[in-house]
This record gives sequence, C-alpha cells and structure tokens, in this order.
Amino acid sequence: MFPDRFLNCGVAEQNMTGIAAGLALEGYKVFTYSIANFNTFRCIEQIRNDVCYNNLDVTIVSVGGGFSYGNLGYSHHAVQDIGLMALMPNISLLLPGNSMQVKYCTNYSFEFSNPKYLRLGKTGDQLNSELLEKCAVVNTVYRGVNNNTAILSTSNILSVASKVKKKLNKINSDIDLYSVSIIDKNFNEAINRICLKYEYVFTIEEHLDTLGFGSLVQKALELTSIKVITLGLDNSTYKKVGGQNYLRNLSGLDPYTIANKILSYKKKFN
Amino acid sequence: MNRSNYDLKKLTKFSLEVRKKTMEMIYHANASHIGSAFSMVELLTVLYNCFINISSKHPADPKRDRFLLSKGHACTSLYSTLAILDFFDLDILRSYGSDNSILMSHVSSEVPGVEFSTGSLGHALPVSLGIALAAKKKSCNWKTIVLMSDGELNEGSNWEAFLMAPQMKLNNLIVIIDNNKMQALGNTDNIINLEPLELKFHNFGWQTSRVNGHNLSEIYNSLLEFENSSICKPKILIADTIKGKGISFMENSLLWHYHSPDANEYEKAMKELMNA
Repeated sequence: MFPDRFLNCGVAEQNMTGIAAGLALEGYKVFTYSIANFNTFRCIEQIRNDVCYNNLDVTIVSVGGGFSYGNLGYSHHAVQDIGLMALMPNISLLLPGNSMQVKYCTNYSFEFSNPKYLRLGKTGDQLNSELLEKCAVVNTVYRGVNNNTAILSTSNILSVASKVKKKLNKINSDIDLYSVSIIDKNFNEAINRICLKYEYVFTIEEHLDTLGFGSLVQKALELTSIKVITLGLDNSTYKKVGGQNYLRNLSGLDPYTIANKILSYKKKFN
Repeated sequence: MNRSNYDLKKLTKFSLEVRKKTMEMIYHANASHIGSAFSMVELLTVLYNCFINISSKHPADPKRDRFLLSKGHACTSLYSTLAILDFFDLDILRSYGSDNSILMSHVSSEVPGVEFSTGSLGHALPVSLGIALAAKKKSCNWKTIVLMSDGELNEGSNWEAFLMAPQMKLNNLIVIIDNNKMQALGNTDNIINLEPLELKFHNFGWQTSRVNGHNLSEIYNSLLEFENSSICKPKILIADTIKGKGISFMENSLLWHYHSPDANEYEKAMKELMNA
C-alpha cells in the first residue's frame, strides 16, 4: 500500500537496525521485521547501543516465536528472545497470545515512542478466540470463584494454556487463566494487582523457563509469599527438529503434561 | 551557520589549538587514544571551519548538516574542536575523565554539537544511512558526514552499509576514513589488509577520492568537489594520516594508541606544540 515506506535491507540485520535507528533519530516511527532470531540476536548490539540507549521509536517485529519454525532447526527456534530483549533499557515487550492481542499490541506500537519488541507466532497458528478485555498488560481469559491458583500465559502458547485450564476444570481443580501480552513500566504493578489473591501462580511460555517471562513474573512478585513456578522449555531439545506440536510435546509443553505438573507441584507444597 | 572560506593560516592555527587542548585533556584525565585523536585533527579543522553547516548557538537546528564520529574513542579532538568553536564552555574540557562528566570517554550525544554516541565500532555508518535516507524522504538538502577509522573497517556491519548506500542512491552521504594504518594491537595491514581501498569503494558504487589527511588544502578541495558533484553516488574520502601526528615522538607509534603521557612526556609534547 505504501511502497515508499518499505525498505528491503537484504540479509543484513545489523545494517537494517542501524538504518532504523537513523530514521528514528530523524523523527520516523520505524518497524524492523524478520524471523525471530535474526532481527534480535544477529543485531543485538545495534538494538542495545543505537536503538535502546537512545530510546528511539523502533519496533522490532519478530515472526516465528518459540517453535513456530520448528522444522527448520535450532537456528530458527526462538527460545531465548524474550529474555534477551528484556535486558534492554527503555524497551517494552509485546507478546500477544491471540489475534485480538496482536491488534492491541500493534496499536500500542503506534501509541508509544520508546523501543518495542513485538513477538508474533506464525500464520496458521491455532489462535485462542476467547473474548478478552481491552488492551491491558494482563487480559483475563478465565476467572472462576475463589480459585487459589492462576496461570499466566504469554505469547503464542495461549491455546495450550487454555486447554490446560479446561483439563483442570474438568477434574474440579479449577484455575484462573490470564494472558500477559505487555511487559512495560506498568508490568510490576499489574502483576501484583492480579496475583494478590493467589497462593500459586504458574507461568507458561514457549521459551526457556529460566530468565524469560516467568523470571520477570518471579521478580515482580518477589516481595510476596506467592509460590511462582515457571513452566517452559529447557535446553534439552535444542537438537530436535519437527513441527511446533511435536516439539512442544517433546518439551513437556503439551496440555496433559502441564496439567499434571501443576497438580503435582500443588500436592508437593501442600 | 558556521562556514568560512579556506584560509591556510587560520586553519593551521586552529589545528594547533585543537592539539593543545586535546593533549591537556588527555594528560589531566590520564586517558588513552591520543594517537587516534591526533590523526584526525586536520580533517576536523576543515570540516568544522569550512564545510559543516551547523551553528554553535543552535546545534539542534533541523537544517544542520549531521556529523557522526564513528571512531568514538578519538572523541577528545572532537570535544576540543567543539569547545573552541563555542558549542560549550572551554572549562568543561577539564572534566574529561571525571565521574559523571558529560564528556564521556567515547563520544557522547549529551555534549552539545555531538550528533550520536558511539563506542563500539561499526555502528555510525548504518545509522548514517538512515539519517541520509530521512533527508531524501523529506527533500532536505542537508548533508550527512561520517568519520571512521581504518581499523574499524574490519567490522562486517560497515560493509553491509557500504553495499547498500549506492543502492539507496545516497549522494547526500559523505564518509571519511582516517587511514592512520594502525589499530590497537598492530599495523592495520598486518592484521587485516584493507587495500586497495579506492578500488573496493569504486567497485561498490561510491564516488571516491584520496588525500594526504594532514594537507588542509587537499582535504578542502576534495570535500568541495564532493559538494559540487552531480554524480548520484555516496562519497568516500580516504585520508592517509599519521597516528599521533603533531608530536614527533608520538607519530606512527603504536604505544600511543593506549598510553597516556606522564609528566615528562606531557611537558615535552606541550613544548613542541608551543614552538610549532
């Protein structure tokens, strides 16, 4: 639609990010786009020193978070990107769980002028279609009555989290479910406000379970007595190749395994 | 905006003043990189006196030319240049190297007149492509100028930009290479040989020129030729320079990449500059 607003920078992510910084310095709102590991890891110093240090209006849009491109091998498994980007100064992380949150997060990119990281899944994702509220750091997917346990899901694992909730609800172990799609300066307050009433909070992400979304939630809740358990990947599957569901199952990120983990953790702490 | 005609006597005196102020700064801060700072003094002299449109009173004027120092470790001679031209008070130069000084030991955009902070090499050129592109999009005729070192041409990120700039037809972009042929741990050509530089850039699609980087009139004439050129290519000036130029015992000496002058060396150096 706007060909003069699109620049193909070729297979050159460091230059692309530098150009983005230069345009943003001159007042433009800029989006960079690539498959998840490439416009993050490949050019992280440009993101750090040129974009984030100068607090520039650049949104780094990644497609293929988690195992979205699982068949293509480890070079295309985006399983450390949330942690990496969370370390940058001034950045907001935008991690939508469904199409409605993608819309919210895209609007957020236009509204705010600090650096942003927008992590998408892939077309053809099974997107959860439950009704969510307006754009917020945390959207409620399901809230029961007096539940003492909540799942905080982020990014493109929401459909799995939703199935976990259904499984647990069926066996009378009701849990509440939230999708956290924005990590910005309001994150800590929002997480504390939402989680205040819970005894257990489980975080789920298609990302390493350490130093990712779950760790940010643990940090936010560190002054509370809430038990926060992070569920995600470890590095044991790094040489595995296959479709997204296959790799999720291999990594224990399937609804059955997660539901059992939640039950056994709760039993252990009781 | 500050721009004056070529005046050899005035420019020679200016270069000397920059070296004096830079030497003082580095000695008092016990700092490094004097060799790198001194090799680019004549380039800064011609740029800031005759070529870059920017006002010390309005350094953020949107119509200004943008100058980016990619070799940010050589910031001291740029800071001296800006202070002498009244972008900020000369006294502030004494704070270089101190806690919480705005004069960071790699060039900082907190300093009036400094366009972009650098410290890691290979960053400013890609950024300058974005800046020059913005000028094109807005149909503005201000220029973007980047000063780089030869050592930093080792960084691959630069070559992504060297390949792309001609494709983008950025004839409003000028790159200057301070080619002092030395880098931190040795001679450039012993580490990664860069020559033939002109041929490389010519074949990449750049308009190229090569000068003695300490000859003020050669620098001036080359930049003027670039400015008046109707060739729709980005421009690159390779300036052959001497690391540590201006102090006899510092010239072409790798020691002076990192070494900071002690009291004796400082006294000897200042004596040379006073008698120059």
